Amino acid sequence: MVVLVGSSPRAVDWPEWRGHGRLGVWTDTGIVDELPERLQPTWKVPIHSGYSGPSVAEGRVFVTDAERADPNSTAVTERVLALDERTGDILWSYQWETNYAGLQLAYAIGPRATPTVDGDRVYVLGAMGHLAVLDVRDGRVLWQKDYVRDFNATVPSWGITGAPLVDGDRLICLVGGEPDGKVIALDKNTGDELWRALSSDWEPGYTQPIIVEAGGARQLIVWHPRAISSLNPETGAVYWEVPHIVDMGMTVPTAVRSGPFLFVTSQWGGARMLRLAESHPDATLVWEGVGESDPGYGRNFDTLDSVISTPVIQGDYIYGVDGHGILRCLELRTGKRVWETEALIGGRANWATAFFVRHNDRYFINTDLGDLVIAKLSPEGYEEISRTQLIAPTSPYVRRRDAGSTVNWSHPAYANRHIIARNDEEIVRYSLAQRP
Amino acid sequence: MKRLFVTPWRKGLNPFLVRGLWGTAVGGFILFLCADAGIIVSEQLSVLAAQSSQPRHIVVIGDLHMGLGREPSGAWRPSEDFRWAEEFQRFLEVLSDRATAGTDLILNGDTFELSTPTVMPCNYADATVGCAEADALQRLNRVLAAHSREVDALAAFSRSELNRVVLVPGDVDAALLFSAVRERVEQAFDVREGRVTVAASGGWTSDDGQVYVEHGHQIGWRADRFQDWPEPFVEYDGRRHLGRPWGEGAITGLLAEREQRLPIIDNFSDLGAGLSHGLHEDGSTDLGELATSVVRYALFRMPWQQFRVDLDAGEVQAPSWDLDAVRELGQAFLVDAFPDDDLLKPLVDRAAGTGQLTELMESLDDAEITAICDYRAAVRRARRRFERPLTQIDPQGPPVSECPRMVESRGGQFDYFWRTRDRIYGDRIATVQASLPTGNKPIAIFVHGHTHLVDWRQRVLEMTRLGRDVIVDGFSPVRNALSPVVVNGGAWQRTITPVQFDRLADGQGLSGGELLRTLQPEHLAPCYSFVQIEPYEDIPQAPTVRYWRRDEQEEWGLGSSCGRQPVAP
Repeated sequence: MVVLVGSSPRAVDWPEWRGHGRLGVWTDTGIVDELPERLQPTWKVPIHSGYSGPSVAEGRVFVTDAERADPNSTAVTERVLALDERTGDILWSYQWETNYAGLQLAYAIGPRATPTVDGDRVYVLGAMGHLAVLDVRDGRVLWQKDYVRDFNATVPSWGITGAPLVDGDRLICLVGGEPDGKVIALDKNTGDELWRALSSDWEPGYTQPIIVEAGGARQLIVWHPRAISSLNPETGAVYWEVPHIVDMGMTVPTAVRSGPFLFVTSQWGGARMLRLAESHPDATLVWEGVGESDPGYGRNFDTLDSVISTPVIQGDYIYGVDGHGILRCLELRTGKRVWETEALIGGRANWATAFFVRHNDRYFINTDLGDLVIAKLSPEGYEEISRTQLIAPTSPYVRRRDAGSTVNWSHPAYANRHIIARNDEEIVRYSLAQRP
Repeated sequence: MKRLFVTPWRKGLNPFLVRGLWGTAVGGFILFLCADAGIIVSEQLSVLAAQSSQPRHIVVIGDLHMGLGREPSGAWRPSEDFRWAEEFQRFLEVLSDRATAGTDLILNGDTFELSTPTVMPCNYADATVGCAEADALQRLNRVLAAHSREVDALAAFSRSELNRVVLVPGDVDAALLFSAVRERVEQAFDVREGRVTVAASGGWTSDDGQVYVEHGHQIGWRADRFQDWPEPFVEYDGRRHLGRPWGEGAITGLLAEREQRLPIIDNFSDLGAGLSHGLHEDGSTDLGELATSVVRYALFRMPWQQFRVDLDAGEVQAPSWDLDAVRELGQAFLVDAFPDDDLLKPLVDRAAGTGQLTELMESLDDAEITAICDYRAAVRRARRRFERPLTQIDPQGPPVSECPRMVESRGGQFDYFWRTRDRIYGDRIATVQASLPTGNKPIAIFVHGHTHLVDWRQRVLEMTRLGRDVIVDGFSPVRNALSPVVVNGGAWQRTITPVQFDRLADGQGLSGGELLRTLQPEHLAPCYSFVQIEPYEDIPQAPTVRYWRRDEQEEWGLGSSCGRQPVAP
């Protein structure tokens, strides 16, 4: 079925992980100042389970999910859905069979990677490395790859997560293929391999590659469990690498860049702040914070060791949620702790997370308990403006927590004055537009 | 229909243990049986049977390695590993105070150094022949004299009204199976007969048969495995001698020679790491005639239980290795089995270059090749994801490559590398069970040691999905089950892991060799692991690994972890 959907005159889409440029910035105008006690959905559509956030482009919403027909089997059907952004009508879907055996089963509920939309194509990726490229209009498969079969990848414990990144005619993928195919660039039109880079002696990790411009060059930043690497996105040649070992392969949050600074954080490896060179592609370590693997790790949590949450940088400060659910502010240049609070998550909880999206001088924050929060972050402290329950947390969580035993670890999309969130049962669109 | 979340009481061998874990134990009287734990004379039976009407605490400690003590000068001999009489005495006092219904204290092998060449050579023209009974008795007397304080502490413990002490023979003190040696030990404690016994059957079984304790050297292809356990004797020159496992001849000798210069070489957990460091420190460039033994020892020491088990609660299947392709690799297969940063690898590479490993390669059967391939794959996975917190492996170089797989078993669903581990331990438990009285309940808990490498705590996610966290020390060789549980208790000994060693060297700016030459056992963390099983009436609870350790405030106490690191010399 083909349905053409017109786009608004000034579409503010959310075409990939963390929106345009993977920056976590929402540029819409006319957005509410405060949240109502209860949001009314524009539409809601039942879907199956998964962690992948939705993406939005040209009037369509794309989301992936998975269904396990037999609860006693690891065989699953993964699927991508295209929905009408205004009505929620399902425009088309495409599904494929796979098997989640080999994943840590408590979390083997569905795809991880947010679909990437580029013009008339959407690139979707399943948890076991099934990459499909489809026509956004009708779901026709243009080409597809299997990371295991085609690139000899070993699927890591928590699945393939790196959403494909479009750069010109290249589709840059975090594959973990062998030999030397941790990162592989494909021709986005044909699927032909263009280059491959970085040894797969170590796992690819779970982060999302980004592209930054610094030192007179466009640099592809790939943070993996062995190092923070910068590549030439056109050739795959390595510009620079800063060694940084992250145990358990858990490089989950996305690297964040602000001016000359590039920041990563993880539970096991701790924090690393790099300074990007101005004159040529290079980087140096500015400061580091201990992670759980480090001998000096204690219980004072002075640093930021996030499990999932991507931090944000504003001015001279970093804000992020650490591995125990504490929102913390650090000095950008020193890593010194400025303040911390349990107010965002509502207490300490292992592996708690939140997704931050900047909107002007404030942040829309989605907690993993399904709350939507508007807040201001400053070196003076955390100022919560308003909060509402957005979506029910339905995903499994293997630690006990006062607030319950389920979470929502899916990053919502902010597009066209709406927020679109999903859990393991439904995808929902709410208006965040100011009332006239 | 495929199985995924099979609940263990449907799948496991011993549903009573699982029921125990779920707290539905049913009370019952345990009939005391003395079939296994040595000789208990009839006059004690009535007393002990009355005692056994109350559930008993079981504590397993192992690998004390009491040697010849001090030099005439008063300094410790380099080969003496057990320098801890004071904390040992306090540990026993605490144990006595804690137990209300009596404790079965099992000394699980290698309590005494009775075969180390530095204690007494016992060398004969036939390398498979060890000490005769008289030699072993002489060794034992010297060790007992050097450790009279510890013997007195054990005797005091066993005099406590309800306690019992059982010595299980290990590979180093297999001579305890000589009747004269056994009797000498029992006499040395000078307590009422039956309080201190030697497990002449080679292992100890709880009264109800559900808990079995053995040293562990008879498991799998281990280097110190005796041919005819628990009667490991050979006739030689008209006398009865202990046999000598190939590993004792080749590996124990290498370690013992170096321990004179490198006192902590046998304090590594696992032991193989010490051997690697020792050979590296020597600057050895050629394994010579020991090449086959060293490589076989290194490849089959396999501390399987250290690898993650919590990913395998599902339908992961074992891959099929292309054994023909492996055999075509010849000696290169053996070289490739060592990671690039393994200190032994240059020696193994050199041995292969001169054809010294051809015979070993040709001798490997399918099961042995599969075991090496499974192990390589498990090591590879652990290294690729930097599993240092779980494995204590601190990779400095690329992980090993996998063996070639058959095409049909590529992909994430074919990652079950623990099949060999399951088979090794499952076979051992089956063998032991078959040797026990048929009236016994099935073994629910199997405790071993020998490697000095204590098991890590694992969460069983299967149970988590059912709404409960079940924490297990060790693992079950039955997939998706919690029973029987196999647990390695480590050593009641000061040990150091390779990760701790490397970090200590880095912290001090020393090379590994420099640190190895200066480090003494006293520098290692004051921490001794043991296994405890709480008193039970019908169903044993899961065993737990505990530590007797000195904390930062210099106070001794029991803990769930060591909490201390080795200190610089």
